[in-house]
Amino acid sequence: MIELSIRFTGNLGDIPPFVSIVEEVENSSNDVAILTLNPDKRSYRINDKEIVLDKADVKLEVGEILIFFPNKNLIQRFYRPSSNSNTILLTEQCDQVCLMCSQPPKNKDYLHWDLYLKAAGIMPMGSILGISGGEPTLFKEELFEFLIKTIEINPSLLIHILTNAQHFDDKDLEKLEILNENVLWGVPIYSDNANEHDQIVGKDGAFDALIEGFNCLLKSGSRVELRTVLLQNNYPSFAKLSKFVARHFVWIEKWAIMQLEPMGYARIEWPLKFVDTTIAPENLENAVFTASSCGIHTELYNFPLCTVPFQLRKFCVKSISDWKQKYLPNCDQCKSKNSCCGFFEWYDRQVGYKSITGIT
Amino acid sequence: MSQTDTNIKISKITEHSNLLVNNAGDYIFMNNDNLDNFIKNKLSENDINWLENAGIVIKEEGNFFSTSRDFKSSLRLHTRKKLNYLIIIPTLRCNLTCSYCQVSRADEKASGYDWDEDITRSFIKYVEKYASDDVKIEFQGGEPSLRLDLVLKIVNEIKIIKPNATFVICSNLSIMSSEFIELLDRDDFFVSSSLDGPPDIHESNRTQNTQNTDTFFNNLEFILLKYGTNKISLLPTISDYSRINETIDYFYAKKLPEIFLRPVNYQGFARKKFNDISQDAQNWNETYNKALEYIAHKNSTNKHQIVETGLLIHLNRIFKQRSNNYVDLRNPNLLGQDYLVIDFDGKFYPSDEARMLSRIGLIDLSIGSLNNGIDERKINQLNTKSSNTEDPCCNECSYQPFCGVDIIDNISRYGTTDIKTLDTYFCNINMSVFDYIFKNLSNRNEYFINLATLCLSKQSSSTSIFGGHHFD
Repeated sequence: MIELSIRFTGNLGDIPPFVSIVEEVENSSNDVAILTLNPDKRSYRINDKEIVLDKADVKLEVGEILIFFPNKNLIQRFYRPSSNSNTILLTEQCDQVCLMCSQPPKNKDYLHWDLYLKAAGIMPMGSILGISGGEPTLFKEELFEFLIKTIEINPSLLIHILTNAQHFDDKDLEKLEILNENVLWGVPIYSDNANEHDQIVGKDGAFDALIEGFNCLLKSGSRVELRTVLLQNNYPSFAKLSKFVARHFVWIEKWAIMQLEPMGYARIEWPLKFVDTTIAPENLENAVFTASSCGIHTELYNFPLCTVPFQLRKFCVKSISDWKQKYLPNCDQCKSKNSCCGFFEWYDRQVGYKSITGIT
Repeated sequence: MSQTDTNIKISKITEHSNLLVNNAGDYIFMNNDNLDNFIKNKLSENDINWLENAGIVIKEEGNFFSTSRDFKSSLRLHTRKKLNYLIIIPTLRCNLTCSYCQVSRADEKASGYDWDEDITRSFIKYVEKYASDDVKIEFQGGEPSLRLDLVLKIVNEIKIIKPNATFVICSNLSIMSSEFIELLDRDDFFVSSSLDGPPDIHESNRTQNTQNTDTFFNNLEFILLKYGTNKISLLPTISDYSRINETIDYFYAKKLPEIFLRPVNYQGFARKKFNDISQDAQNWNETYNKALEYIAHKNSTNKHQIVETGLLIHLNRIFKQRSNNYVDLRNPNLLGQDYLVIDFDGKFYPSDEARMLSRIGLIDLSIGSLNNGIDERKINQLNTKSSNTEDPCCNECSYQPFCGVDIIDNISRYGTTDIKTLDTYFCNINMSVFDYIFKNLSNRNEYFINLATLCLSKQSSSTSIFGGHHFD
C-alpha cells in the first residue's frame, strides 16, 4: 500500500496550511513552497526548515504536489506524477446509504477550496484530478466555483468527479456547459427499476432524482461515465439494465461495470452481496454484449482477467488504484498478469472467487 | 390524454405482430390486441411506463426520455464534414478482362491512362489541405499493382503529412512482386480483392484461364498464410444465383471471417452483359434471404463462423445511431463531402459508381478535378435529394431511421432522380433486408438471433442481446 497522508517531525512554525511541490533543487518559478530532499537522503528542506517523515520508507517523488498542515504535522499527498489515481476526498457526508459503499458516510468534510485551487493550478498539462466523497455535490455551489476557477487556471486539466447526480437542476445547466470539456462525471446507476435502485442506495426517490440529474447532464452536453456495481441484488435484472443503458445512454462516454470492493458496508453480509462471476457469468456477458452491440463503450472494472469468460476479457481494464492494489501469490504464474487489474489490497480469498485459475 | 407520439410509425410485420418505431430508431413489437388498446389509450399506467422506457411513449416533453430520443435522432443525421475516404485510380489499365468489369478498364499496354507527376503532386497537396488526419486512401483501378512504384510513392508522401493515414489496395492479385510484399508488410496497408468462390466460378467470371486462376489462388494463399485474414478483405460478386451456396462454402473452407453477398452491379460493362438478372430485385432478395438462412444454420453446426457484411451493415444501422458512415446506406447521403473518387485523369466523382456511369458515357457526374477543385454548383444540385427525411415515400416507412439514400443508383438505373422511391431497386433491396431482420426478431428466430449477435458483437455468444422488445 502507498501512504497518502504522512506525519512529519519538525517545526514549521505557527502558519496556516500551504501547498508545496517536490523539486530536485530549490529554484522553481512556481509561487508555491519548494520541498527538496537533503543530501542525507532522509530529511527534507522546506521554507528554510528541516523536516523528517515519520515513515522512513516513504520516498516523495520529484513533481509531487503536497498540502502541508503545519499545526497537525501532516502532509497530504495531493498529486503524485507516477500514480494512476490522484483524488481529493472532499467530504465524507452523503445523502445516500448505498449498501456496498466502500467509504461509509461520516460527518466530516475537507473543504480546503483555496489550497485545492492552488495545488490543481500547478498540476502538469493534461493531468487527471479525481474528486470523490461522500457526495461532492452536497457542496454544489462551492464545487462549481472551484471547478470553474480551476479550469480557468489550468485549462488542460481533466477532472473526474464521482457523484450520485441527485442535486442537479436546470439552474445548473449554464455552469455544467462551462465545464463540459474538462469534467467527466462518474455517476452510478444500479437498476432500471426505481424501487430496486432506491433500495440499493438506501434513499426513497433516488432513482427519479437520478433520471432528472441525467437529463441535466445530457442537456448540458456533459461528459458522463456511467457506473454500475455488480451485486446479488441487481444481478438478476442486469439484462434489463443493460437494455436501458443501450437505449437511453448512447450519449455517455462509457459504461463501467464494476466488481464489488470488499470494503466498508460491502463487507457486511458480503456473501449475500458478492457475485462470483467464475460461477455465474451469464448475466454479465449478456449485459456487456447488449450494451456494446448498441455502440455503448463498455468496460469492466475490478475484474481480474481470469474471473470472467475469455470473450469478456477484452473489456477488462486495470482499474484498481495503485495504492490499494495487489496480486495473489499464484498470479506469478499467470501470463496475463501485466494486463490484469489484480485484486484489492483487502481481498479475502476465503470469501472471494471460487476459482482463481490464472491464464496459461 | 394523448400519449401516442406523432413520431411513431406502425407497420404490420406478421399476422399477429406489429412493429412500432420512433424517429430515433427505437423499436418494439406489439400484438394486435395491445396495439388496439394502445391506440385507444386503454393501457395501464404500468404498461405506459414500460413503453416510455422503450422509447415509444413520451409522458412529458422535455423529460429525460424525450431529451434522449431527440439526441438519438439528431445523432442519426450527423455526418462527417471532413474528407476522410479517398478512392484513387493511379492507372485505369488492367491485365484482366473480367466478364463484369465495372469500370470499363483500359488495356494493359495502352498509354495515357496513368497518373503523371503533376496529378500525383496535386493529389498530395489536396490531401494535405482537405483530408482528415485519419484519412483512408483506397487504390482502385484498373489494376493498381501495375503501378506499385506510384503506390509506394503516394504512401510514403502521404505518411509524412498524415501520419495516421491508412491504405487499401484493390488488386486482382495477379502480381506478387517484392514491392507488393514490402507494402503488405506495413501495419497501415491492407488489400482488397474479388473472390467469387471456388476456382471454377472465379475463373469463369474473372481469371479466364487456368494459369491466371492458379496465380490468383496461389497469391491469395500466400497472403492468408503470411498475414492472416485481417490483412485482406475478399468480396464475391454473385452472378449465378443458383451457385451462391458454393461461394459461401468456399468462404467457410478458407476460414474467412466475413462474406459480403452482393448481386452483380448494373454498371460498366456489366450493364450490357447482365442486364436481365441485375434488374430483378425480387430474384436477388429471395436468393439473399435463403443464403442468410444457409449461413445461420451453417454457423450453428460449424466450428468456424461467418458474418455476412450486408446484414451487419443493416444491423449496425438499426442498433448503432452513430453508424452513418457506410456510403451505400446512410442518411443524409451528402455527396462530395467526406468521400471522393479521383480518376486517372484527376477528375473528381462523388462515388465509384458515378465514375463508372460517366465512363460509359451515360451522364457526366464529375464534380470537379484536382486542377479546379470541387464544383460546388454541381454538388449542390446533386445534393438536393440527399435526405430521406424529405421523401414522401420514406416518411411513411418504418425503416426510415435506419435506411439511406442512393441518388447515383437511381440515375444509373432510371436516368433520373425524379422517381417514386418505392419503385426503385434501392428501396426494394433494402426494404427486403429490413423486413427479413424484423420478421426474424419478431419471431425470435434462434438461428437468426445467433447470427445477428455474431454480427453485432463479433463474438459468438449463447446469450440473446435482443430481449426487451416484445410488448405482448
